[in-house]
Amino acid sequence: MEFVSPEGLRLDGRRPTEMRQLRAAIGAVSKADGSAVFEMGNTKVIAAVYGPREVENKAELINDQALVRCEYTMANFSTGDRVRKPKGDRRSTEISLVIRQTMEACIMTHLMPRSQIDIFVQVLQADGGTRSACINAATLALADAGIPMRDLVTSCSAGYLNSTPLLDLNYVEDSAGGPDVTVGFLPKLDKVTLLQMDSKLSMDIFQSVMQLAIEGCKAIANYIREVLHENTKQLEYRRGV
Amino acid sequence: MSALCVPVVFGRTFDYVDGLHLFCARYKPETGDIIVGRVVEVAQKRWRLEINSNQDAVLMLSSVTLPDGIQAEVRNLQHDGTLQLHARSDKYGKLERGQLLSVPSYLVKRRKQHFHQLDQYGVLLILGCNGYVWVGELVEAKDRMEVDQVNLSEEAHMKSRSYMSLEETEPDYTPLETRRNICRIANAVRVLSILGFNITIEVILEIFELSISESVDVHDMLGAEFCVRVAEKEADRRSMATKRKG
Repeated sequence: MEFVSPEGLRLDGRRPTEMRQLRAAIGAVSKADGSAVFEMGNTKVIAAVYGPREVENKAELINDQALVRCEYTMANFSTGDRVRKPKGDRRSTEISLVIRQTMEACIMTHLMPRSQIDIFVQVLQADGGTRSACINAATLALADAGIPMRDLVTSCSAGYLNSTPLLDLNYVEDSAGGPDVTVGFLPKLDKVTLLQMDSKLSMDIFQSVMQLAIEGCKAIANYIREVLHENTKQLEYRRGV
Repeated sequence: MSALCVPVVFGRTFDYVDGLHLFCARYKPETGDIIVGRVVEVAQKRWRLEINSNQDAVLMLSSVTLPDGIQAEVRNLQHDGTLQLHARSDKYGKLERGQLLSVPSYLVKRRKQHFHQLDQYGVLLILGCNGYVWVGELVEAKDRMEVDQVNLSEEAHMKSRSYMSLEETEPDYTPLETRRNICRIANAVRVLSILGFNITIEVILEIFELSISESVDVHDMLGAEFCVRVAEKEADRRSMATKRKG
């Protein structure tokens, strides 16, 4: 199948190094301490953060740092065909773990000893790149909750189809079976916190694909920063300082 | 703006700034704060209070009896973040006959006065530093002292029973007018929290009066129309304040 037309356009009309449209809103869940909705094109994810709060299960308490927990779910209506998946299937457990590890790496857990932070992410619409969208949504929600972080961790995916590196794969491109690299990135520290890849790639191509994904992460970080600035300005203005 | 929860880079090391907690959802305890909490666990010698912070606070048992909403002062902050409270003075204690509201803690400023006895409405209003706000019936201080004395004279295991008997002897209802006032003030606080304005006693009373003068019903106070009115009022106040400065 042809994923990049001779004119250099992809199936949804994007250029190979073009990202889908981003949209983010803070404060979607009123009862949560922090929440956000993050959209990448047709992929839509909602995240809610509770905490830092008292540890529910005393056996899990850590004396010198906070306990971070994460739960990833996919709404039944999120995919094209409505499927009822059992809770806690392999895929969602794996993604929960990935998100938890990524967020734990950037949260300054040592500042909140003997407490617990819960992150809940749910996919409302799935169109490829849910993993990245979840991480971005969780970052925004954590920032909204006022939880100290080393940096805004962002994530983006990139692939390699028709011998062209493609940024931010959608569902059709994702299910083509080509290589799919998901990167989690700390833009200020210039560090990679997450790297996952399906299938194989040669070393030099991998480097260019990963570089592309990192560029995507940086663009997302800029956007998220802008959204947070806007939100803080508004709060500040309302309070009348 | 440093209020974003993003650390600021100082040279090569990372540090975090005070502004970090400016819009933090959770309460950051400081010694001497007056807070309102909810009892979540009752042990032999101490109570555990949920206070909208990183951890639950510990209140060593004093002259209060039954678990409910409670008000106390932060006594000391232990190194591991455990919080100890005390409610020694008789102005602290159990709260009843009213409602507990929770607002973002950054909207409540630390002030000298956190208890407000609004005698004209028969309402007791407590703005806890942790973002919990209590609006309840104003019980005469004398009554409370009596309650305390009775409880102290009773044996520990008799406490609950003595409380029950007290409840029976006291008139256990709140007049309708007071209840209306409680709801009206509670809704004023809710409106402020929805709009994200600082919550102070002056503004609450202003909104209270505004709702009465415009004859807005209690249940209509949270509607968009009244919110707009409150926002307009606030805008007027601010423009006045800047004019005075200029």
